[in-house]
Amino acid sequence: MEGIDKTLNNYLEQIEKYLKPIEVSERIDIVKEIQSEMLELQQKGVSSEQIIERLGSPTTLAKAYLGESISKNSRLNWRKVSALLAFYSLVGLGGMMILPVISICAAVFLLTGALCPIAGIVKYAAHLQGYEISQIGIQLNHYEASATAFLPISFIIGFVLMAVGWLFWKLTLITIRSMYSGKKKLNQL
Amino acid sequence: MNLDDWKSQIKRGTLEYCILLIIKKKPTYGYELISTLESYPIMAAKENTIYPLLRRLSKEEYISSSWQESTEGLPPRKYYTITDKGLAYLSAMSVEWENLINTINEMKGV
Repeated sequence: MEGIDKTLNNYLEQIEKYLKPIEVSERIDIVKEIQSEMLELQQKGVSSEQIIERLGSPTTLAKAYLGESISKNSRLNWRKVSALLAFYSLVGLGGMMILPVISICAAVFLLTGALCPIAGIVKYAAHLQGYEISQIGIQLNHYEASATAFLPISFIIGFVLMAVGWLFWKLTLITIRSMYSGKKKLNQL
Repeated sequence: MNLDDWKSQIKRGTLEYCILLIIKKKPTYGYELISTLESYPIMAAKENTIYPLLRRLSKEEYISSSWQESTEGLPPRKYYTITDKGLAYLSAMSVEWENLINTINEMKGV
């Protein structure tokens, strides 16, 4: 691109790279518009460094474009999904990795926590009827809890698991909230 | 909640309105629009706000754009013009704006 130096050219190349999910003709138009402002500022005697400082980092600027096209385009299509992916890869791998992991942990802990006392009740009820269900129970080295002992233990373990699940759930909410505020900042001024 | 937060919320809520008002006056290019807004501190907004916003307003067909060559070594500029749809939207916004101002004045007891 003529008329601008290497620093500015690199900046535009990076913008172009980050905006891959946006249709090529639009992308070229966006880059051309930014370039036009660069030339305009250059004409006024603004240095390349100052121009870049004014525009902000290429990732921030690209994110703003991607964020706007995600939040305002209600149709779900491949282009939107890829914009979303590009957006989250700019937001950071953190959101993409952490969120699924902690939300799955929350669900698993809550579920097992709920199942545990049920297992205890089932074993105890069977015991009262004269059946011993050996598949359900707790074993520590040589100690094996009887059906009567297992009932309260299953409630305690269930409670602990639920508590852990609940903590993961809280963590999930906090993460979502912080990601959301990150996205909100992006649309901010 | 502090004052800066509140101001930035006001800005967020009214920027679209201000942009349409400016573009309505005359066809405007991006940098010119940003400079105009910059001259009003309460409305000052950066490139990463204005350009994506202009792009959305174009997609929603409130404004249209065209590239125009400039003279004397100046770069080509992308000028934005308000559309009929944009004018209708703007006048509806103006009604709401008047409404808001009147409401606030009434609450202030003016």
